[in-house]
Amino acid sequence: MTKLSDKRMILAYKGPFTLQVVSSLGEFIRATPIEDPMSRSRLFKSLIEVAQNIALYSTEKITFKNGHQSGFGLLKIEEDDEYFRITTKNKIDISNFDKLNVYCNQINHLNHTELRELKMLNIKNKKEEENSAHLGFIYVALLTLNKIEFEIDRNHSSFQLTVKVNKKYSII
Amino acid sequence: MENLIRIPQKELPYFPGVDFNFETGVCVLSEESYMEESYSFYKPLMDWIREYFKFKKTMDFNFKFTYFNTSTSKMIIEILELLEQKKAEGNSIKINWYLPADDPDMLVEVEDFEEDAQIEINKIIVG
Repeated sequence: MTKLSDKRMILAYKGPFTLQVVSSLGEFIRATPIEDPMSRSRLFKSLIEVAQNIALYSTEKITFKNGHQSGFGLLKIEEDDEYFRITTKNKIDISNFDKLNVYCNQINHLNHTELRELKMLNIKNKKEEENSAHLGFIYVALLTLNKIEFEIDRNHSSFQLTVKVNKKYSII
Repeated sequence: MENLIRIPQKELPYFPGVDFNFETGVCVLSEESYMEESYSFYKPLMDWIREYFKFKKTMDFNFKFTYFNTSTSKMIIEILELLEQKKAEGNSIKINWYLPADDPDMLVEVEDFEEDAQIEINKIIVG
């Protein structure tokens, strides 16, 4: 069992999640020496999805001089012997608590084939104008082959998500 | 009709390269695509494709993405469905997808796109 002290912080960021920030976080991962190319690829892809989830869905927004708004939140990446763990935390709308809870639990109860089907169904049902269809959570569960870990804090209207990426994947 | 070109820029890596050539009928989407507002970016590309088939009957469409996010996935499906529709109308369309050899996850996604859009995609492993 991994002790808390065994975790090593790779990256921590708190602030607005502009596209430039998301891109820089991604480049940091690409530049990080990670032995398994599959692990590096899945860490990068998962990072982009969860970071963009903050950008789009955090209810705490930063408005820039040009009028553009970006979601505000926290993202950190830690590693232990087995996993990279991406943890995000952001404010959410209180009216979304139950919906989000059901959605995340649904993802965790589906097998790989069912997740693939749900992903394609969500893509098909997404309206053209929508930026995202909350697809990111399904995608990271599919990609990492791990359950997502989540925590909803009703007192502080916050949502915390942890995505585990294996440090070693065997080619299927 | 004008060609539609967008050269990939290092400082804006989340926008893909676009090279839609009216004369040759060869269209290429390349590099990475993970912008937030994918619809705003891809709508003009789809408009170009619709306009193109008012004049021409053949097209080679090439996906050369090295990465795309889930928001882009929706637009990929939209493009594939549009191409399928144009094919059903009697046009000759060939779709190639160049897959990075070190990214087997992309192959799975392309297989899902192919099944969903009901159109044949020629998959080519590169690198």
